[in-house]
Amino acid sequence: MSERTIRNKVAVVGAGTIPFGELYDKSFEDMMSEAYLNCLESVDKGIDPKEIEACWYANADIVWQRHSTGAKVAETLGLTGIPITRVENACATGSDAFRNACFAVAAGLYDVALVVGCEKMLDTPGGLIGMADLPASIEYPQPRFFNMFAVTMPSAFGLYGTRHMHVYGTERKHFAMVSVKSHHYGAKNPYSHFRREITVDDVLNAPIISWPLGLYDCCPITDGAAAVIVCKSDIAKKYTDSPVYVLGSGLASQPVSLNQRRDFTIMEPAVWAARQAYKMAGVGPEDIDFAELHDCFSCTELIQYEDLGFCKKGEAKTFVENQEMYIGGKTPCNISGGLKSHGHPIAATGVAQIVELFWQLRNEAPGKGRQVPNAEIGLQQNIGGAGPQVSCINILANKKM
Amino acid sequence: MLTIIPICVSIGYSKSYRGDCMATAFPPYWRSIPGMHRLIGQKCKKCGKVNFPPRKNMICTYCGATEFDEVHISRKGKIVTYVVASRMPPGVIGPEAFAIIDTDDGARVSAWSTDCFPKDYGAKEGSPIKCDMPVELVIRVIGNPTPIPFYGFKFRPIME
Amino acid sequence: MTIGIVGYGVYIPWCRIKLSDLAEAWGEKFPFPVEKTVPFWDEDSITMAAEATQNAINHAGIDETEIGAIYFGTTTNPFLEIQGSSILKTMIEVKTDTLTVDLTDSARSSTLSMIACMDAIRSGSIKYGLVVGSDMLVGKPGSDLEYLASSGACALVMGRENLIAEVEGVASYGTEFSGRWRSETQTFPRMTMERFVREQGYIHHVVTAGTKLMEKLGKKPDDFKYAVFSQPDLTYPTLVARRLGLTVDQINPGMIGMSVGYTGSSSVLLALATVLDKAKPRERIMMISYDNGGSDAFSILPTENIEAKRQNIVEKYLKRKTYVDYNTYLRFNRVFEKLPG
Repeated sequence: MSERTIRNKVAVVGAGTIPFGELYDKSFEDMMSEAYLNCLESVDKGIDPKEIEACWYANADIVWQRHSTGAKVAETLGLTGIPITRVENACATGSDAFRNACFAVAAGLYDVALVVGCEKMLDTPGGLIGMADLPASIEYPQPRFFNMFAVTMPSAFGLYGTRHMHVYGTERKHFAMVSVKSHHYGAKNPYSHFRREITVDDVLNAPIISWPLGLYDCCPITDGAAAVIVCKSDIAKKYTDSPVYVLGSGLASQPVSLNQRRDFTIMEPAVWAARQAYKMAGVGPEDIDFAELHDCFSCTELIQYEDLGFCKKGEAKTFVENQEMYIGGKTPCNISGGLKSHGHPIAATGVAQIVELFWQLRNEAPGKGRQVPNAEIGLQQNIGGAGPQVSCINILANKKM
Repeated sequence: MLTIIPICVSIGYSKSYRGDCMATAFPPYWRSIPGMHRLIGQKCKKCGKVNFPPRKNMICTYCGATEFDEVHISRKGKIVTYVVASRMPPGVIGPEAFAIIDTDDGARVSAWSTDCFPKDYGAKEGSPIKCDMPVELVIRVIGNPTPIPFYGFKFRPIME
Repeated sequence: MTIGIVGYGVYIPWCRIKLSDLAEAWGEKFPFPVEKTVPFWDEDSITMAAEATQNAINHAGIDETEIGAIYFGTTTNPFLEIQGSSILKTMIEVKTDTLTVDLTDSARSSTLSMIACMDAIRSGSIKYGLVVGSDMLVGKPGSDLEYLASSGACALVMGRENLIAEVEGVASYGTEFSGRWRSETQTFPRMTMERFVREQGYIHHVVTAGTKLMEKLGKKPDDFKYAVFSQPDLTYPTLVARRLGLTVDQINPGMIGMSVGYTGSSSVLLALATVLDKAKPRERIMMISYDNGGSDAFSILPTENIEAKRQNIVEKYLKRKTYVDYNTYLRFNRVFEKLPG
């Protein structure tokens, strides 16, 4: 009986990214080519760009749609002639692009494929997100002054934070501890947007954006790009002696309209995507050595500890109080600094998380004190949309399972 | 799509472009009037859940069925969850709370708050907004009332 | 055929400001316990009318689709070229052939609406009619007219059957007098000399209309249990009462202006609603409105049905209140946006 899985069929052999931040002096194309060149360099035994047979291009650009066709990649990266698919799935774009590239390679259609994600948020006043007062109802994708249902991102995710606080007794200080942890590791990461530590008091006293979320509970507006190269596992040794294998992938969606959602204490797409990914990978939450989660807001990451099974429902606050998400704890999470500290260029985030998994699983995480010891299986997750509309999860390992 | 972009996109939040548009003179808002002004929902004949806002050819989000009864959603309900947003678009005087509300007849709607001052954040003593609080839905102006208003419903703490 | 009120509803905003606080902001004193309403920043005449209408329809207990016409009386329509009543129509379930009529430009528009509505019912064109008076008055900061300019709405469902109060008769009186005005280019209302407006305007017209009413119906002042008037100034009703032969006990119950200020076209209807909350069957009410050069006087007789449909709606809205300071009052009334430059 054939199991429906891509486990062990695809390997990541190269990964590159650029330091994230407010990169006013770099254009969209500058960032994309820098990440791509870093990616080519990272392939241990070298790779000729002509060997890349297809490309999946992650770009959200939710307001302008300026960078929307594969032609952009073809010109910028010198990849004219190959199939380039542009993927868009809000903040889950990066992982969704990676997932689709892996499927094409696993299906045997391409030997080598490139996944590139790039996002320029700061060319727009308000930083892209500010221009797009996001829809909380399926019918009316217009700004707040025209659309009674429109909310901002912090509001949409904050709804989950409030309900979680009401039902399970979580407090703002637990959310704050998550941000403190992210900054602790982001400070050590040379690729991070913010490189300083913060304290719980900093977070609790910061200006409120959308109660229960304050300034230090929200991820920044960042520019960035990342690229990875995937290939069929049986030819991976041609490029590197330590490839990283893809074990499984999951993707799930729920209604756009906030009032058509069912439960505000779990992010259901994450639960469903995790179920798919764990099944495909043949592993469970206890096997995950570290994770790159989508902490667009601190409450999101806290709820993910429960949704992905790292702790039982309702016990995230204990998980956080016991520092289980630090290196040395049960499941180190967002050791890159997470979206909070590393940055969140919408589409590039997912691909950058794959880059982080690649480095951690090969024991080469840049920055001192940031390597998860004995990492074998890593999980990467994106959540997209105003309030979790969609979630995409990929699980990687440094050996075949 | 191209005619809508000039409305929602501008160079900064300048008042002139936004206020001068009569919202319901545009198709998406004109179509929304039954839901926004009269709180009409579609109650699924199969699973009994209410889908809101209403639309033609609705497919039930919960069970996938396609037969519905048009119902007037009750104007009274309880808050399921909320946030208090402090950054408002120009012309909107904040802070305002945004809440998901379960109405007395089993429907679920989302609305911004009015007739209260949620300055005291959170479920502390004296906060005007809490989870499970009874509220009622009233028609108010959404967004900046000047110079051109756009009507819809908001929630307010229930009147004794 | 008897025509009258089937149900009524009001809406009074939540926020209030004490006139003593308002005076203090300008370095003056106002030592009387008067307060007025402050609309929340997201209200306008139509939202207030919508809630008053909902209350009136619930009170009347009729099927909304039987309302044949909507008469909306206001001086502060949000639009100069879209009917407030047609927007109001989208907020209640009425048939598409329901007539929508906007009567604007005068604080008498609410009572003029009543007269027009009664004529339509009498002629048989409609079964029930909806009359709404709703205003959001703002006075120029620092002026005398600012003191009482306030907001509120009142709606009446009128018809031939199931009346809680019948309209026994109407008398109107109008002349060429203008005392208070606002032109298209002016943001705030203005008024000429106060004594002139009071004597030749308010008192003359209200007294004449009231006298004509009593002559027409063959009634005397003590045939009326209550008398309610428009309240652009809180001393005027007392002066009028003296000349009409009414006593303080007859006018005091309707002096809602002490709590809500002058709410424009809804002022006289809110006073009527206050009194209808208390009136027993056959306790006759005299209602006289006034604005620029005209007055309409009504004689309203509560029927036996009023006990069965007793409500205390004005009290319910009055006791829901919170006080705001002058800054908030200015912001909520959007005074800054009305100033040039």
